[in-house]
Amino acid sequence: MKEKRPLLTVSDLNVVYTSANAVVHALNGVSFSIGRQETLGLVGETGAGKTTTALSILGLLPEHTGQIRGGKIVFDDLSLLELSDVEMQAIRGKRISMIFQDPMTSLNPVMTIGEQIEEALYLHHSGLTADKLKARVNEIIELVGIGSERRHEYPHQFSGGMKQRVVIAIALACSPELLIADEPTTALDVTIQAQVLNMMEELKQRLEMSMIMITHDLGIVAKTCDTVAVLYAGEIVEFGTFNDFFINKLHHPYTNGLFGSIPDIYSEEERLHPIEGILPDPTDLPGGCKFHPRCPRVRDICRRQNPESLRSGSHAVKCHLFKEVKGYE
Amino acid sequence: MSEVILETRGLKKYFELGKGATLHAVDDVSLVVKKGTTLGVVGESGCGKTTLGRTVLGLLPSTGGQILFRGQDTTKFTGRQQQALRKEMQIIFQDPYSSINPRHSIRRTIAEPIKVNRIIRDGKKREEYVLELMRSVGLEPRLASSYPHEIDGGRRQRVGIARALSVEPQFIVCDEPVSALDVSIQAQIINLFMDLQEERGLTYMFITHDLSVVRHISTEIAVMYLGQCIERAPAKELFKNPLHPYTKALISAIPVPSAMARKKRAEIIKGELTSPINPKPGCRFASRCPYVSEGCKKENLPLASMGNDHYVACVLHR
Repeated sequence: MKEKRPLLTVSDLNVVYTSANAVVHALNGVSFSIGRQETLGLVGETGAGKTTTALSILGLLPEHTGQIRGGKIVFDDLSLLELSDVEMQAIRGKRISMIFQDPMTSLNPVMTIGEQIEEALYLHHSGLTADKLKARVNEIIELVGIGSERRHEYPHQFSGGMKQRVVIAIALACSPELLIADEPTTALDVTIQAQVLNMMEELKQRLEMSMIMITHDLGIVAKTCDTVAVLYAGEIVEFGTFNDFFINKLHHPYTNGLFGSIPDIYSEEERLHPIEGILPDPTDLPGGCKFHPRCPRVRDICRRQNPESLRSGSHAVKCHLFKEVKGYE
Repeated sequence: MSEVILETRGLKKYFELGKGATLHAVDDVSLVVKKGTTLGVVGESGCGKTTLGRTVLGLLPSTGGQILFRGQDTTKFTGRQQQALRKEMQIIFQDPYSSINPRHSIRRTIAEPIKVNRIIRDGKKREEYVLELMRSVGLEPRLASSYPHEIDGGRRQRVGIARALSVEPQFIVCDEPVSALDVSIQAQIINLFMDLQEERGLTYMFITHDLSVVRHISTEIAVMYLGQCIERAPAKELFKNPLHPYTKALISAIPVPSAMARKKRAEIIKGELTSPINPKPGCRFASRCPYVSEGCKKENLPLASMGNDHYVACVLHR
């Protein structure tokens, strides 16, 4: 039975990156929550703030340049932003872990994969005996579909898909409650992507985890997610359940644009319907609604005023047009 | 309309790795591309699709077989003839970040092939032509003096397209031209490719790993696996009626953004690409194929016609 209380709640998160001559507004008031054993899809294009959201949750924003300017992150009663470094270390990798996009660069090339999995375990369970550690490492390697006899091999001896399985094994070593997967299959071929996604889904069920699936691919969202948040220029422009996104037809104009941009293999139509223009410069975001320069349904008010998030049941949309839609307030 | 512009016959490209090891990157590939159409070449990394594109252009010397461009075998061309061929055949690369010289302005990048091939000698006319090219690919002429780092990936890819178009080629190899771009930008560029084809009657060889992209842009599709073309059919026919088990797996592995896709369980194939070094005889997909039988391991099957311009190399379809 799922608990009602969410596992993670992010509210009004504001993050900026500062450099000598510019301030990048990476996240501008991002709020969402994830229930236990739920998968949230965080969708957006390059620079929308997907990875920044993940790094903020884990307290991994680059020192000096990345700053949280406001907001709250609550994980199971713990306010993460108020924890000390030591307290955070006890959570990171144990209760919340992350899989990075590129399996080629997130493994240590001079350590065997067994050692790398062991390292994660050792850091959080220092009481384990050597035998128990070894047994647990073998168990985890088998869990992600690699023969445990390969534990003495180095990353370069594995293919891309296999490396990503190793990365997943490290992330799962301490049985986290929340797994953040940042574009976990973008670097993989489609047939391998299908294998890895399937495995992640199975493991999520078996280990009773919650998951944040960061992706730019709505197809992956449709396959894996229970709830979906669409990010644009550091704001969540639409939030809803699987049904709100894939059964109902009412969407934020940006979400509609994303759907129109994807080549549909079952459609007879030849031309795609892309979104005109490009993502705004995050050092110089437009006033009003951040999507207005590209929006096909832009109105006067969109240029002047940033819309509030309007809700109808589980569905929330940040768009002026929805003021006229029945049920949204 | 149905004039053949490019044909490969048993094209081979092997790389000698020393110690008797030979990598069969492209192995006995025969294709036909008709003028004004798009041949989509799909496959996963390591299947030889990029090597195929480069060999066709003569950027890599072939190991065997023929490449017929408008009836002439280009594998026998001299250096000078090869150079002249550049005006007819061009390439657009995957990565718009590394395929453009960062120290050249957009103007200079686009003008370079025109200078090298001595197409327009007059500087003023050349400038006009460059600006016109920029407009035709959707680049604002004011960007002419900009440098690559000042523009985004989508615009950079447009520069690559303008550069390829500058010599008015007949045939363009597009090697994963949209896979480095964001979805919304990807769609813009795909539409641009289609517009340019209509306006200029271009012929494309469109190389990609993304079946849904290729479905959109292609007239005909060739599916490659470990250096071999294992299935070839008109685009619609291939999606409606895929025959090779690998093609079926590829199509079912595409994550489709719809509610229906969730219920449908993908037919997932096990294992990974085996090595293209000194491959054993027999079907190269056999080790991953769910329908494998003894007959698969005996010999290499050539493509066989199934009617409707559909060709497949598989024991199941004999």
